[in-house]
Amino acid sequence: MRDGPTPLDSSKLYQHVDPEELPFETTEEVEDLTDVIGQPRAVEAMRFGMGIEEKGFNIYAMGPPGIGKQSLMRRFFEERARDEPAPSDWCYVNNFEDDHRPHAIGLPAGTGVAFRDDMDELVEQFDTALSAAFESEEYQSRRQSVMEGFRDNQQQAFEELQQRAREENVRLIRTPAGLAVAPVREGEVLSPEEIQELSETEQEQLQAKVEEMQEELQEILRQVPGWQREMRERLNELNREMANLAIGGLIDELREKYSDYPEVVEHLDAVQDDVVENAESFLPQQGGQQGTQQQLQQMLQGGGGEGPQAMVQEALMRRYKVNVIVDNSESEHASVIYEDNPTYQNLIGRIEHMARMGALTTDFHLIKAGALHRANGGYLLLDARKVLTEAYAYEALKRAMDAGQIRIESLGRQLSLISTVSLEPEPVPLDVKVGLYGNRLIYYLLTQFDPDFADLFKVQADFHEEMDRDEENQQLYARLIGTMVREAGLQPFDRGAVARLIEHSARMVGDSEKLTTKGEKLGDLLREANHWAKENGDSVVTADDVQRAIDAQIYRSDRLRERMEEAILRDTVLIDSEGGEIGQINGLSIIPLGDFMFGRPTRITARTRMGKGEVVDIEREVELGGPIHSKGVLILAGFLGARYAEDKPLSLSASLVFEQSYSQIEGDSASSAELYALLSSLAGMPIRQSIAVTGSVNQRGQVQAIGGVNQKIEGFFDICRARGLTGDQGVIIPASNVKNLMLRRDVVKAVAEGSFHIYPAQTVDEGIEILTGVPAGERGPDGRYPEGTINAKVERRLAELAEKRSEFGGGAEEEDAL
Amino acid sequence: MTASATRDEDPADRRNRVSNGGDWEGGHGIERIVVALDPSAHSLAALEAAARMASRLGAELVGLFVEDINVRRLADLPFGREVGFFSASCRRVETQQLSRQLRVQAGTVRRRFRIATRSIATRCTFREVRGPVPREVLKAAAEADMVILGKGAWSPFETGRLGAAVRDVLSHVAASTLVLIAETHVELPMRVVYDGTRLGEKAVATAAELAADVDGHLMVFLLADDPEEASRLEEAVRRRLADAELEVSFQTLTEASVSRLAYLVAHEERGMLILPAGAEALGGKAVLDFLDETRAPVLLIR
Repeated sequence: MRDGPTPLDSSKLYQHVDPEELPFETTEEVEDLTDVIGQPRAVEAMRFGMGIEEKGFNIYAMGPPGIGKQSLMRRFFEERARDEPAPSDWCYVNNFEDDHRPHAIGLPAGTGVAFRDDMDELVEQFDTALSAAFESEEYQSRRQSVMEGFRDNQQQAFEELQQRAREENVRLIRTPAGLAVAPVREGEVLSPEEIQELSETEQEQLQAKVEEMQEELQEILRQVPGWQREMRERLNELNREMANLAIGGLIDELREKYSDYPEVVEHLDAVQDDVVENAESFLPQQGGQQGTQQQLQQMLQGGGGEGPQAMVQEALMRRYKVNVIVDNSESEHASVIYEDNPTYQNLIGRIEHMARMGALTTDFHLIKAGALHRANGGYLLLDARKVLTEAYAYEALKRAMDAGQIRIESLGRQLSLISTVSLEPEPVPLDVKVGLYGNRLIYYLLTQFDPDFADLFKVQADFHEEMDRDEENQQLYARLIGTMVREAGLQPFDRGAVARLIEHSARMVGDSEKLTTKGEKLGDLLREANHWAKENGDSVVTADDVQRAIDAQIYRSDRLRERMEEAILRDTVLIDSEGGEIGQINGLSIIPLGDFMFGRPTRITARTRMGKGEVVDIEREVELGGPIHSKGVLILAGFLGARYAEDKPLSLSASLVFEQSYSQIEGDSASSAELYALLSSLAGMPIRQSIAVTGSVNQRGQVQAIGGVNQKIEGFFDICRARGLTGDQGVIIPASNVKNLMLRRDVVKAVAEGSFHIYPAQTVDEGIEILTGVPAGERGPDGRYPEGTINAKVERRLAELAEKRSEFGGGAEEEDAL
Repeated sequence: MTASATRDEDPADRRNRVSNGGDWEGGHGIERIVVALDPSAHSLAALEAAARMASRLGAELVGLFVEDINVRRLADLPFGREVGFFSASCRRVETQQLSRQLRVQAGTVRRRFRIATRSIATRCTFREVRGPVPREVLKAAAEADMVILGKGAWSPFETGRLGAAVRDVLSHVAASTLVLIAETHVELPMRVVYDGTRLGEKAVATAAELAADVDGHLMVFLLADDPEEASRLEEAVRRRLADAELEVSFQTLTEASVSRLAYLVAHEERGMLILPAGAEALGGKAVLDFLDETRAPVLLIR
């Protein structure tokens, strides 16, 4: 028997950090870490993304949760924003030509509010100025003159007609719907009998007279609308002239003040035109000027309260005011906005409605800004998952970014859910750098399935979950911990605690040569350790507090692990940890439970018989095995055929099963265990049940690395320890996983004491020798394996099966099928 | 010139003093008011004024709608046709249709009356009659102390001039008469003409009653041939209004005439004029002409 792999020395099982090598007593002495560590690629990408101004170079920060994507991105955004000027204020004002399409006006930071206040003041002055103008003697006199002119026209025409009527003994009579001409005698209309008494000629003359008067009456009535129109026009002209005189000066002051902003000046022109057009609505209607009809209306409405005139005035005033949706008067630099609830409306803004007289109404004052408005001219930070899970938010974001403008549209209207009258505000030009952050899957899915995404997010900042664990990085990590402790306001950590944290960081990534970059997890651990230290009344957090925090975290999460361990110890789940069995082996698997994962042994059995060279994966047959697991099993057939049946049919039928497994199995980490079970079955050699196995295998029989090696070892160790460590127990792991070992202290201790062993295996031959205690054997110059070796036994058994199969007449067709 | 009065007293007490104080005989003596109504805007103003006067003076109010018999007769004429107000088109007047329209008109007026008098404590009744308008109004006025008319009521054109029917009523009515044009109101300041006669006293009492309603201003035009007479009249008015909380001012019309009065009233934008109808200088046709010209509400005291 050649020299098989020797158990690992305990020093290989855990890479300690010597607290003495840390150049401080507590984190109080540690200098703050200002640089980002462990993310050179992401940092470089962020720098690039921040530096490039062209359209579409927005940034997607990808990586697992808690790795610091948001905080790093925010940091970059804030640093950049500090050097950039405060962005524009944005206001909405009424569009007097089309109320439903309010105008957007951008003004330098702080000017928006000033403009709003100026307009408020102006509107307040309208009332006084217009009242003064319209109550002036000049206006009243001119108005009276216009109206009198109209009355005179009318009166003259009617009086002439009435005079003629009187002369002709006919009279104009008012009917409910008009006027009539009738012959009269002594003030009363002639009766039919009186007319009958007239001669035919007289009757005809009378009728002709009446008809003539009717025609004249028609002619006058036809002229009345023209006179009225003319009077209205002249009154309007007079009103416009007076209103212009009254408010022109006031508006001119603002025109001068805002002469640098053409949109404001244009708006002021429109305001002036509109005020002039509606000047009369500003005037109070009191006593004598109030129409009787209106008084009756008020009486009908109960007399008091806000009259229609006041409502009209208020509505008019509202039209001239300004809705500042983005006010940067307090900003000293560009904004960095994080929208933690990126709904459609929170992103692009919304148009609110209010109930008035039982109906929903809106105007430009009810336009509310969204995150894009607030971030305009600066930076917007969004969680990709949240954006994607909010209905229509992602589409709206893309549309705005692509168009370079924010167009507020009512979602309800867009989807035809409501038909209430709404607005179509003028879009606001958009200039914003958007930072999305999320996991890699989202990024790759979006890249693959959304053609727009790649155009809009051209910069990917890929955050790595781990960083190299070398001396320099350990020192930086210690500074990172110190910084985090200070920022979180925690008690100082002594160097023992920091050393333990660094070790645990390596354990978190399952690699003794790496450290985790998941700051969130590390931060949680810091806070929990701080809690335990405080509970103990300690002013400094020690390694014991850190260990207690780790243990407590595990304890809170490992209820299922305990239940499974109990099931094994009570022999409900059958796992042998001593003796030997043919075709039976303890494989090791991982069960992930959210943040927590643990390993446990699983009995794998193999049965072989004559067949067509197929290895049946029972898990796959019942659809409990995943594709990677199935691949691992199929590789076994390849290995067996290549090694033992190169020149003859592999006349084997083997079945493999994970005993007492009732859920999905995925991964190929059990493939070496399955191969050992097969070899044991074929060779008829028992496998030591005190050894558990993990590792995948390739067709050449090489053992390959797997994940979760620490948890797997600990899972089997816990069973063995509970049953009593015999010194014969251990685990075979791929040699390439040795660097991943960061085992629990009790495991390391047991190995150091020789009561538990970890075997690194590079090949299947090494593993089978450990498991059976029999040499695997190497093919000699004669092409045969040495007698008594595992390989010789397997080869012989397969040859026997091939022979027997041949006796049974196995056809070439079947062989081809192999 | 202001008549002094005590502040912070009950307005009801003040009214009583105005009505019964001094050495004058009685007060306004108005217990029953008739308001003649048609669908015109002038009548609307009359209705509003009537409601206010009835409420203020504590008088019974009768709303009178006269269905003009001449309109009825029109439908019976072989060539009875009407010209539409707005369409200016000519069409035959059908009896059935006309009846329906007159019924609707009466209903509208009745509804307006009900609304306008809703909050009045005194008795309010609405009457519909058919006949020649002046005769029916005069018949109702015979039982009333005051008649209120819209200036252009029953007139073919609402020009702001006295209609023929109104002119007819004004020429023959025995009761006090208030005439208003559309969109005018019974409001302050009150202006009253005082000539030292009993009617003049009644005019001043009525004016004071109406002005006292809101602590208002009362302008008294004194019809006097000389300053002495003016002074005597002023003294009489002052005595009469001594306890009234009114701001009273006086102006003497030494050459009293309608044109002078019209000039003075025309310069006031608001307010109401109360005239003793028997005043020598303002009597007869001159008053009617004055009423024809002025746009202010005028109450002729009889």
